[in-house]
Amino acid sequence: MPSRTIKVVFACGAGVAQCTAMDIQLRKFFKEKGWAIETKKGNYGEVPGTFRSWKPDLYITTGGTGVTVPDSIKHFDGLPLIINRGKEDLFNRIAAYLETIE
Amino acid sequence: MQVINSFIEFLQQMGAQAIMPVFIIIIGLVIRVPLKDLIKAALTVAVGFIGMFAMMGILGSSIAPSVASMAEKMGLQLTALDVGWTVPASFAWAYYLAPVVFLLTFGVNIVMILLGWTRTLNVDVWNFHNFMFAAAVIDVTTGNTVLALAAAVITNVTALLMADWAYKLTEKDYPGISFAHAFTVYWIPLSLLLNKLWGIIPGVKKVQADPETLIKKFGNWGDPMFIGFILGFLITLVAGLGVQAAILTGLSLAAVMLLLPKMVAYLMEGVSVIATRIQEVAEGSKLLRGKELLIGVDGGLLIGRPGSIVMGVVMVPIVLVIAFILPGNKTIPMGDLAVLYGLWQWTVICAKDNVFRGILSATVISALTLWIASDFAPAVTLMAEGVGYALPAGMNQITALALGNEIIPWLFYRLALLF
Repeated sequence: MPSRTIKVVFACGAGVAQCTAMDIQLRKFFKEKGWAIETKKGNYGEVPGTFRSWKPDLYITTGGTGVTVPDSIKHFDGLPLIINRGKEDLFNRIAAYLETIE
Repeated sequence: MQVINSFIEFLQQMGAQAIMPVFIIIIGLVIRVPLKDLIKAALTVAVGFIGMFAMMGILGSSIAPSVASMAEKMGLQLTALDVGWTVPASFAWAYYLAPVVFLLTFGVNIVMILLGWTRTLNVDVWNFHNFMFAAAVIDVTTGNTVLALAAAVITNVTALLMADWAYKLTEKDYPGISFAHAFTVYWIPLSLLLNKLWGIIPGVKKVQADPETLIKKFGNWGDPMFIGFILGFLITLVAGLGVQAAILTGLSLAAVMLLLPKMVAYLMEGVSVIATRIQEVAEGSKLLRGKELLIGVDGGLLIGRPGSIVMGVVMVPIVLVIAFILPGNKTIPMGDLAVLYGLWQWTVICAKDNVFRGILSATVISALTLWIASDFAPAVTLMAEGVGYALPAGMNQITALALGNEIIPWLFYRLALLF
């Protein structure tokens, strides 16, 4: 279980619709687990700056990565959060990863 | 009927920040969302609208005078400000026909699935703004509600059919998902055609560009803050308003480009209670059980590919140049410059990720898009008034570059203007 607030960046086309949908789903999961989360949303043009200034733990997108992701940030494809298929598997993978960074 | 009209008028006098929350509650009650969730969603939507209007105010007071001054100096007819797709989308959600369009188009989707006319179940509820927009523009320009609803339904039907048809292009990478996204799908046939054309032109047909290398070069230039600052600075400088004003306008536009979508994200957050419930209803429906459905989602899902990002960044200066030299164009590109990769990502997909060809196709399509966006400007401006929003002083007309992708609503609009 993460002992600190996990920082997550979501990216999608305009940084609006899909980012918000993914954000809501992940926040729900974190709340159920009792984990602290802080999130930022943006389009692919914005995220390199957010990587540098905010240093997130996770980067979740729809589809590909869109940009070069630093090694310190783990990328996940957030598609299951949008289409409601494979969501549990994604949550399990995120949880497993979070275990490794503590 | 008179009671309904009086109620609508009452809401319109208060503006979109009051209208859309009421609509969220109405739609939510119909599809049985718990009232507690609805009230929070309604307040979130209101907050989003108030934030959005604050940003529009900054846009009006900062960039609009510079654009007017520049246009006058250069003898340009750039009278319509591209405020970005999020603004007309939000207005569409606040238009009085929105709840009817929502229930009607979702119902049409279910009927089409049951009749075997489509495999796509469109659960991308936020993007129903495309169908609401189709209805709103026809309604504000003609006052013909039946025609307006027909425009919404036809837009919905064609988007679903396009999604089924285009599935073959993305099936390998996105199995089980289709893109019933009226904002992006209509240029697919032209993109395929243009790609064929580039394939037979000597000197063009063999050119390849590696997207991974290009994205490392272009990376940050797609940042809306950068685009906003540079654009605001240059326009004000060309307008002859001095370096100090140019810097301040650049900073204001950078703020608007960054913050406006964040405000709209609150609207989306409010709509999400509807989206979640609709998905539950559809997936739990006995009628749809056993059917092999494609889940219809936002075309933005395709953007994570490096080729699309590169195309979007390279297209920023190209679109600006085209906007200045294209005869008949009235749109000054701005708000949607940061999301060009979303508008025309199909050009790259139809070119099988050949970025060079994608850019060529996007260049052709950008000219068409500018014309259509310009043509829509009077209707979008009327639509803003229709949801009780008065444009800030200095703004003449508003539009969004993305609206140039709304081909079916535009055809209806042109047809409606004939009569």
